[in-house]
Amino acid sequence: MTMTAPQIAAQGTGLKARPSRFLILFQPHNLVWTIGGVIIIAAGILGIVLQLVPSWRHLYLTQDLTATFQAPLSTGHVLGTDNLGRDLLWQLIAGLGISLMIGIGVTVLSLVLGLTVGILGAYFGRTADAVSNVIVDVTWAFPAILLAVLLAGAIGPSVTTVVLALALTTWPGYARIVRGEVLSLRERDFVNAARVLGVPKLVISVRHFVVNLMPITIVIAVYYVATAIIGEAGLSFLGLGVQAPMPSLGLMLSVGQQYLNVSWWPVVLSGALLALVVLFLNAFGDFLRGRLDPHGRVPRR
Amino acid sequence: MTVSIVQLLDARKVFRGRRGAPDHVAVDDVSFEMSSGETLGIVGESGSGKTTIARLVLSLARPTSGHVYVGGIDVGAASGAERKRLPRIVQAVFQDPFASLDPRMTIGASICQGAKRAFGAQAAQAALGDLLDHVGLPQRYRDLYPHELSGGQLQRVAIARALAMKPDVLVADEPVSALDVSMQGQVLNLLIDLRHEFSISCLFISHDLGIVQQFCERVLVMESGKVVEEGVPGDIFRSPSHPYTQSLIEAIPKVPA
Repeated sequence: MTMTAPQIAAQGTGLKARPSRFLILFQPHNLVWTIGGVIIIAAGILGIVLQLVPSWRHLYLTQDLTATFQAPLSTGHVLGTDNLGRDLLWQLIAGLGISLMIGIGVTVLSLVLGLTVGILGAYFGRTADAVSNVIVDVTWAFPAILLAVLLAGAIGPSVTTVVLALALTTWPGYARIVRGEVLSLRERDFVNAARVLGVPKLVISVRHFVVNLMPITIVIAVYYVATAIIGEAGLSFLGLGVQAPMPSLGLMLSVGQQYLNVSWWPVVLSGALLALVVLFLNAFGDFLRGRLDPHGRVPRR
Repeated sequence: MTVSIVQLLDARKVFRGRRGAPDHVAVDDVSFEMSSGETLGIVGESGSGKTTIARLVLSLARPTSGHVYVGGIDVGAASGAERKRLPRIVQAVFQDPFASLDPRMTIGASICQGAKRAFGAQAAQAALGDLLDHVGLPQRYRDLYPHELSGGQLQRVAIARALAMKPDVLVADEPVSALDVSMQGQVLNLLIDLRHEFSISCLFISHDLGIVQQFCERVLVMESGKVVEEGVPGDIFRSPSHPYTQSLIEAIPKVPA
């Protein structure tokens, strides 16, 4: 039997030859993901900055009604223009920024709510558990779109509507995971030891439960951002979310499909970017899961 | 006259059976006293209720009926202020050192966790160096995480964490049974040294009769929630009066010469 050099080297040390934590990102089969990820992250950060700096908004908001539906690579516009003659590349970047901000907002809200309710249920007595279980079950049964319609009717369609509707429907899933994890963590001897040492329950919750939940939480957070971006696109497409002139990938799809017979690229480009971002986030989540959650506690999606 | 530091009075712990399963009486009206400075062993097979007694004394479980007194406090009916005093009276060393330390907390933080609450952060930090010396660990270990240490070293950390609270009683629930034999000896010797040095009483729970004989002044033999025999380990193991004790002793594997 012949062996390759790394195999022999691995035998010698008694260890499997494994690339280091970050070098793995630069191996040939991962390089496409790494490059794509860097581009998407850079575009996303640029998009978020565009929202925060008012003097840059003209980049994607300036209309030119004499140059509508310009094809990609036509004069002055790398990806062409939309129905109002706005630059599509800047629209996409700004839209990605909005989508990411909504995704991150939804995720942070869901995680805070899920952590609080999950730990309350699992560690603060039977009454708290019963109450939180009922809340989780009822909220979980509520569809995001229905909630968004109700919220849009009550407070009007806006970014806030999208964030609330999505956060209020995503957190129960995470609360369930937290509850299950804490139910097992609280029986571990280091929690018993902390109790014997006189550490209060609230401190045990933060110092032992939250800290030990961080790895799976990071993995879940990445998946949640992806899900929230799709949700945002869906709600904005239905007119329940982001309102013009604020750009968003869902809104661009919605407006673009009205002019599909005139120009196909706004729809295709925003749809493709949406798909690529979600694909990347899911792949990134899988990568993190392999690193942070080797026992597979985060449910597969 | 010696004062009793731990006393159980008809303490009973029943675990309610779920979905029609019968109730399980883990501790069945047990009474015993442990005087200050004494080392009391509890032996018995798995499921005999030894660990439940440890949990009762540590107020990790409440007695279903009867009383558990620790340092004069009835732990089943303690007030908030009394409850706050308990950590400085009784401390624990658990069986599995890998489970009894938070994997995401440094050794130093683990040792100081209770002490900084009881004595203040500065005092706890100041005592940390001495504690590491006492349990025979190098000073640089304070910044390491549990996965960087061996089982025996981790058990020393757990002992240091208990000692940091300057307790009167140490409850050691099978403290060496998860360690390999060479480590067992070292950790036991450490416990013996510390017991003399800090004049701590020790409730020592084990299924290993040999270790109990070496370590304890008095021993209780437990079978299915009841204390069936009590006495000085040497006497009990030489001439066991209860059939269960006899069978426990016969169960020690013997290698024919």
